[in-house]
Formats: sequence, C-alpha cells, structure tokens
Amino acid sequence: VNIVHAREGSTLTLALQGRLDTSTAPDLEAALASSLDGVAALVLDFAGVDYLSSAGLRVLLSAQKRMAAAHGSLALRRVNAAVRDVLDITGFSDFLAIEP
Amino acid sequence: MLRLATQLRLRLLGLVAVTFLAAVFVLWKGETIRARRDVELLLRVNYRDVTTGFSDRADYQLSMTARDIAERLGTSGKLAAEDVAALCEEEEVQEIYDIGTNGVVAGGSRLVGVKVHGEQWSEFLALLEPGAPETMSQPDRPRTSDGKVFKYAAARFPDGSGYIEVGWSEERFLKYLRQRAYGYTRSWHIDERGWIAFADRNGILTSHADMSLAGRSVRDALGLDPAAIPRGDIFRAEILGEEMFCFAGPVRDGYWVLLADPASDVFASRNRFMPQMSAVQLAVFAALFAFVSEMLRRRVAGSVREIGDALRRIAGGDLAGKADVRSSLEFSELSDNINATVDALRSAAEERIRRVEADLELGRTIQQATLPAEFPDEECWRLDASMEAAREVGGDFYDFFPLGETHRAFLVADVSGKGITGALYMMNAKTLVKDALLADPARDPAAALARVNAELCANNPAEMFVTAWIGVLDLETGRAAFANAGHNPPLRLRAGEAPEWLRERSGVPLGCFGNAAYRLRETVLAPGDALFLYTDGVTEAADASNAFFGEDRLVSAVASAPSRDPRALAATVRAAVSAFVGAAPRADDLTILAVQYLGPPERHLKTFPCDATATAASAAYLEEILDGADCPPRPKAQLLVALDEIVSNAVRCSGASGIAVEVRFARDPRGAAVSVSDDGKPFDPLSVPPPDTTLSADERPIGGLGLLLVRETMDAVAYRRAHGCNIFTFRKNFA
Repeated sequence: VNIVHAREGSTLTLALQGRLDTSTAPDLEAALASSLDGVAALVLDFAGVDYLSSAGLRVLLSAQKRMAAAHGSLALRRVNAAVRDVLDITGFSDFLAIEP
Repeated sequence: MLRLATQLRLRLLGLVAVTFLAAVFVLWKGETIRARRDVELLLRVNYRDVTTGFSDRADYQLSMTARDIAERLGTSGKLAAEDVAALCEEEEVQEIYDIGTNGVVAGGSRLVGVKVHGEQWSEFLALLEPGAPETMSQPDRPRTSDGKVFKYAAARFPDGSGYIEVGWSEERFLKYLRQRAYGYTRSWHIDERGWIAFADRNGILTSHADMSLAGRSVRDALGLDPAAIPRGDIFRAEILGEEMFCFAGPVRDGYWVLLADPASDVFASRNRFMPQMSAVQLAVFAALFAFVSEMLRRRVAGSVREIGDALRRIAGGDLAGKADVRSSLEFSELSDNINATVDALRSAAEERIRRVEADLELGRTIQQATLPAEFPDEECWRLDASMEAAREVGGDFYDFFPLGETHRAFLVADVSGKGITGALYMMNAKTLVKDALLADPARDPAAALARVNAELCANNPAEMFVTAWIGVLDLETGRAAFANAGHNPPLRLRAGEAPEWLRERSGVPLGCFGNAAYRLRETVLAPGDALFLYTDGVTEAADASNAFFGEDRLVSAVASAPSRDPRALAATVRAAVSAFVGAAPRADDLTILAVQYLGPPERHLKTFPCDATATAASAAYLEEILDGADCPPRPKAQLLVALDEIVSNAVRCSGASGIAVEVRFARDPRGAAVSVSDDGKPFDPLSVPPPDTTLSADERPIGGLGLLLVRETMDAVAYRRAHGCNIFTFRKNFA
C-alpha cells in the first residue's frame, strides 16, 4: 500500500493507495507507529483503497484504541462500497467515524 | 328340486282338495238327513190326514144320509112302518128313526112310541134346541142296549118338527171304510210317486194303487213281514223292486195303512242339488286356492326372490348392499343375519384394504426416500428431476451421481412390478447400477447395463424386469455416452432447433435374458444443449377419455419451455401433463429428468509455498484471473478479501507446506468459485463460532472477524477434507 502523509497542525491525514490486507496492513501499522506523536485528529483517506481485510481491521482497531487513549479522534474518509461492507459486517462502523 | 313356492302350492292344493271333499261330504250328509226328516214328516202328516179323513168322511156321509131322508119326508110323522125296510135298503143304513119334537119315536125300525132315553141316544135331542146345527153325528161305539157296535147320525126336518136318526152297523161301517180306502188308494198321492195301501188285521192287502194286488197277503204282494213292520215309526224297505221310505199305522178295527215314498223321490232334490252345489263349492275353493297361492307367491316367493337379489348384489361385490325383506318375522331375521354377515365381510375387506394401503404407503416411502432430492449446482451442468408416484406404487426411479471430477452419470428406469415387491426390486436395481458404474474405470454405461442385467437375471424370483436409460456426461467435452435397456428414447434439445429424439436401437430390458448385450452410444452436447428423459408414465398419461398424452404432445411441451434450463423444462412438461390429464386418476408413476450441459469448466490452478509470501502472491494471481473474466469491482474485492482471510489463516495456523488456489467460473448465474487447499493439519474454519460484533473497540478481541467476513460476503462457502488436505471453497456470483 502507498501511504501519503499530510500534516496540518495536530491533524494527520494519511491517504492510502492499494489494498489493505494481510500483506499490506503491516505497512500501515508501521506508518502509524512512527507518526502519531502530537496528533489529536487522525484522518485515513480510503479513496484509493480497493478493499480491506481483517488484517486491516486489526490495524484500524489498534489505531482507534490508541487515539482514544490520547483523547484524540480517528476518522475514515471516502470508503468504497466493498470497504463499507466490511466495516458494516464486522460492526466497525458502529464505533469508527466514517466521513464521506 | 322343486321351488319352495311350488312345494307350498302343492301342499296347499292337497289341503284345499281334502277340504273340498270334506265339505261336499258334509253337504251330502246334511242333505240326506234333511231329506229323511222331510220324508218322515211327510209320511206322518199323510198318515194323520188319512186317519182323520176316514172318520170325518164317515160322519159327513152318514149325516148327509140323515138329512137326505129328512128332506125327502119333509116333516115328522110321515114315515110309514111298511116303508122303513125299503128306505133302509135304499139309503144303505141299518136303522132309521123319526123323532118328533116331543122326543118320542114317531116312526122307524124299532121302538116306535118310545121316548128317547139313555145318555148316548139322548145326545141328538140337542137338535131340538133353538140355534142347534142341522146335523149331528156320533163315533161308532157299542150300544148300551145290546152291545152291538153302531154308528149314528141325525138331521133336523126342514120344518123343525123333529129329526131323523140313522145308524150304520159295524159291518156297514167297515164296508164304507173299504170303499173309502179303495178311493184313497186311487186318489191319494204322496209327492210324485208315493202311495198308500190298506191291510186288514190278517195281513191281507185290502186296497192298493195296483188293484191286482188286492186280496193278496202283504207278504206275497209287497214282500213285507207284517209282524216285523214297526208301527208308528218310519222305516226303509225294498218294495216291488224299489227302495221305499215307509210308515205304517193303524186305521181302525185291525185295519192299518202303509204309506210309502220312493227313496229316489225323497233324495231327488238332494241328488239334483248336489252337483250344482259341488260346482259352486269347487269354484269357491278354486278361488280360495288361487288367492292363497298368489299370496304365497307374493309373500314367500317374492321375499325369497328379494333375498336372492340382495345376495346376488352382495356376491357381485356390492358390500354396501343390504337385504331388507320385512314381510315376515322369518324373512326379517334372515335379512338381519345376511346384513350382519355382510357387515363382517365388509369390515374384513376394509381391514385388508387398509393393510394393502399401508403396504403401498410404505412402498412409496421407500421409493421416494431412495431418490436424490438435492440437485447438482455445478458450473458445467445442471439437472432437475421428479418422480410423482401413482396411487399404486410403481417402480420408477431416477438417479445421478459424479463419476470422479470430470464425469456425471444420470439415469431413468422403470421397474415392471408394483407394490412393495416393485419398490424393493427398484432399490436393488438402483444400487446395482450405481455400483456397476462406480466400479468401472471406463465409465461405460453399456457395460454397466450388461453387469446389472446379469446380476438381476441370476436371482429374479419375482420375474420382474427394468427398463433403463443411462447417460454419462463428460464435463470437459460435453460428450454423453449412453446405453438403453428397453427404455423410452430421450429428447435432445439444441439451440435454435426443434427437439430431436435420440432413437437408437435399444437393448432388451434388464432382468430378461442373462446374456443380453447393450450397445454403447454417444451424443455430443454443445454448451447449452439439454437432454430430456422420462418414463412411460408421461407419454401414457391418460385423460378422462382414455387418450394418451403421447410423444407429439411431449415434443410440443418440451419445445414450448421458456428455456432449456432443466427446472424450466421439467416444470413445463409436468404442467402440460397435469393440464392434459385433468381430474382423471393417474395410473402410473410420472418420472422426468432433464440435464443441461453448460460447457467445459473454466479452471485455473496455482500452488504457492505456505509462507508469508502466499497471501500477496495468491491475491495477485486471483486478481489477474478475475480481471481477465471481467469481474465487477465489488465481487472482486469481496473475493480477494475472502482469499486473504483463508490463505492468511492457513499460513498462520496449518503448518502446511504448500497452498493451492483453484478458480472456476460458473456460467449461469455468472460467478466464480475459489478453492483453497492446504496439506496442513485438519481444521474446519466453519466450526468456529462467529465473533460478537456488537462489542465496542475496547472490549473487542482480535481474530474471528476474517471468517465472519467470508461467510457474510460469499454466496456459498464449504469445507471438506480430502486426500490429506483441507479444502475450503467459496463462491460469489457476479450480479
């Protein structure tokens, strides 16, 4: 997966490109681990994400927990239908902020 | 043997005849007694008339003589003494006296100048009294003066100057009697031919109608013993050659009279009357016989016939029939007994029918239970079949099963037997066919038929047979090898062509000849082509007028199906048969099997080492294939997610050395099936319970979500363990 970082103050936006599955989820996990210091609002732009598997979900869950612990926020933006299905089926859309 | 009614009539005839004779006899006897009573009365009355007539006539005659003399003299005192003797002779009397009003004899035979005296003599002085009758008479009796028997009578002179008294001596009186009897015998008739006769005390016949007999003794003349003749009572005797009813009685002075009436006259009325009376009685008794006979015929013979009719109906199979003859107590009881028997029969028959129906139901259950009800849903072929059992269990069956990965067998058969036997035979045949095909590496249906036939012939106690059509479809090529054992030819359906019969020369039905051989035939199905198989229950389905559905209607029905999809074909034909048959009862099982070849499989297979590179490599492989098959983005994403979940799971947990990914495409509906195989330890992901997706992020454990995603997004998922591998398959339709 390609990850493009964009920082504005305490808001970090990561634009993801490709798929988020077992083989690529560790890339996102590593990116998050190195860039979340001082970030109050994390935005993941899914416009370029083809699909999301449970490996990706695990990274999202972990990110959500970390942001919550730091009193920050996590938002997913521009998810496609396949990704939205996965979030709905797994119940992730109940606790993840999903923006258009 | 005579009919009951005839027997009864014969007895009745005997009874009536005896009664008739008895009645005639009683009538005869009664008439006889009446005739005897009548003749006795007649004879007694005549006897009385004869005896009183004698006395009355004597008194009258003597009184008339006295009056004659009184009128001739005119007045008392004119009878001169010298004239007395001449006058006595002239008047045939023995004594004459002229007695004047002073009661003194003025002239006469004796005692002239003597005053009338004595009790007997003085009686006539009453004539001198005013208002006295003109004449008087006395019965004959002995005179007080000399004891001689005399009979006297007297008559007044016309001028009242006294009276004339005359007397008959006994001799003269007897002469009168003789004359009188003679006159009687001439003029007296009893009935038509009866007669009277007089005889004196010596038994001499003094007078008789046949005067030549007079003077002869009664014994000589009439053949009667006078001493033996009962007096004062009626008797029968044969007189002068004729049977007579007789009565004898005294007249006077030893004279007696015999009255006789011929028996033929006495019984004349009876003898004349009897034939008429008998005829009337005969008519009455004949009418009675006819009436009772008719009653018998109606009540007895009619009842017997009704019972007979009822029994015939029952014997004819109408167990609901009732005997209901209530004309008499006996027939009522007989009817009740018959009905009770029939009820028992009917219960037994119904019990038997119930058992047979239970037997049939069991047969149907066996039959249906052995037929596969789940139809294959594979990318290369489709099949639909149905067997609607008739009320009577037939032995139809169909079957289909895979022969390895690449071939599919399907068949339709019809066992000749019915009921439990047919159902069991069918099960046996079905098992033999399947075993024969599965055991044959060449998958030759003709060889399978030959083997099944040999087995069935080796042990076929019920002498049943089976017709069968077996096809083996090669999914790679669409070649359908088939063999036929006496079964109806199937229809082949091609795109844009009319249905075509697959008429090849058939072999004999299975179970007939142990050494029968079967020819292997072949037809090639293009993708989309279909075969339609059926049993004769379809073509021979009959409507209410007993017309068959027939092959032409079958072809029309098949051609009218909206598509060559097996379900559409089967449903169309079933509906057509059902509409044709209407409410008519189904005589035979109705079995249909349709097969459609969809084309060779689109299959892609690649193996990957079971390590961290497997997920990315397999995903790239699948993505390339799906792109090549124009898979839409959303199913493509879902299939890739599912592949990621399954492969990552295998890499993580199975300990396998390699992973194989196979992709096949289905044509209708368009879709893809992905099988992921690994040679790791057995694990069925579907046995893991789904995670709780309602938990919040903090509570949520990691794991289990992957399988949830696969289950939820795929159209079908399946796991099987085969050849030491876990094989997980998931399928997704594109639309």
